[in-house]
Amino acid sequence: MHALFDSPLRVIALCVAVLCIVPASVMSMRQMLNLRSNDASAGIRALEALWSVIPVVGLLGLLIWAGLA
Amino acid sequence: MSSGVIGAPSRGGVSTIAGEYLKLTKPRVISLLLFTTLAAMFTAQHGVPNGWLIVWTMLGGYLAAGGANAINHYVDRDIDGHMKRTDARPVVAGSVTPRRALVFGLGCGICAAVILALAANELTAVLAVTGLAVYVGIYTLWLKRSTVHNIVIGGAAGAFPPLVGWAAVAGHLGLYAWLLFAVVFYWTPPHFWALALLLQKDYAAAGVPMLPVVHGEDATRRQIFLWTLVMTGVTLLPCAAGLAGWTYLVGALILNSVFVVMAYRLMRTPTQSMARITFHYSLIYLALIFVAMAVDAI
Repeated sequence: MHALFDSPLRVIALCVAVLCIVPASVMSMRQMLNLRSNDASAGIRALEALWSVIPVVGLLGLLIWAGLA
Repeated sequence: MSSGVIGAPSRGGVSTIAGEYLKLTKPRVISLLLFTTLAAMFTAQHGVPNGWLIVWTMLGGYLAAGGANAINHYVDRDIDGHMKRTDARPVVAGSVTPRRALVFGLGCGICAAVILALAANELTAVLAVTGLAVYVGIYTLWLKRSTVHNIVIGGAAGAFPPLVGWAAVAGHLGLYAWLLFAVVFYWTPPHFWALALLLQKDYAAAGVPMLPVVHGEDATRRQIFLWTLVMTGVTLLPCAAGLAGWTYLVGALILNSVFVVMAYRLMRTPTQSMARITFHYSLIYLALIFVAMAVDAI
């Protein structure tokens, strides 16, 4: 396996992945957080927020793991 | 169909009963999951895996996923009758009793664990059973009826099959295996929300809080587009990690470009036919992206 900056393939793929993932995941998360019902209890709202955030945290972890591999 | 079919099999009765139990496993849904398992095996092997290992892993994978689906029929029997898509399922129709569906599902799960542990390894068995547990416990029993995020978080269950395939060949899980998991995980929301746009009346009637039912079609179409972009990025990570080559990158870029254009058109042209096209393409897309990975690895 080539080091990240020795491989054009790795650099190109990582750049495109970051450009796709970061803005889209933040926009998706923000929309879902804004859509939460104000009538719901604090516990349910917190849980809904957690479900919105978990996939984004996972994405950040994958990006870092892939970049450092 | 009456439950008497079960008690008194006559000419053709045995095959009818077998057919009803086969329906409990949702074979059409499982076929795509098993395809991801198979492709993961080829990718992990960097070639053609042992034939018998393929056979036993496919059988174990089918039984684990089929068992999860049978238990899902048992748990959801109260709402399946309210949906056109599910009102003919064996438990709702009465051709299999709820108790027998549950026992059948649990039995399939146990058989899957035994087969995979003996024919592959313990890790493979644990992953298959964990996938079953996530589908039944996290998705069906907890999230499906309680949150619009049901298929996002619960979608993790459908991402276990490639892990099963990888573990069967490699005996351990590395970055590439988890990237395969992520591809299916982040593919699931645009796939299921496109379906939910088509079936939202059914879901509303059954009281299932799918995204279009709770927050409307516009929000759903926007989420489909955004998640398609996210999924596109995720499918490029095997190349970013140096685990896949140009062959896969070119294939992934072509497949993703089509998906992104479809999701964009769905967002701008809110028609049922566009939702249907997007849903059907998503099925082909997942199969082909895994083919691209396997071909690149071989």
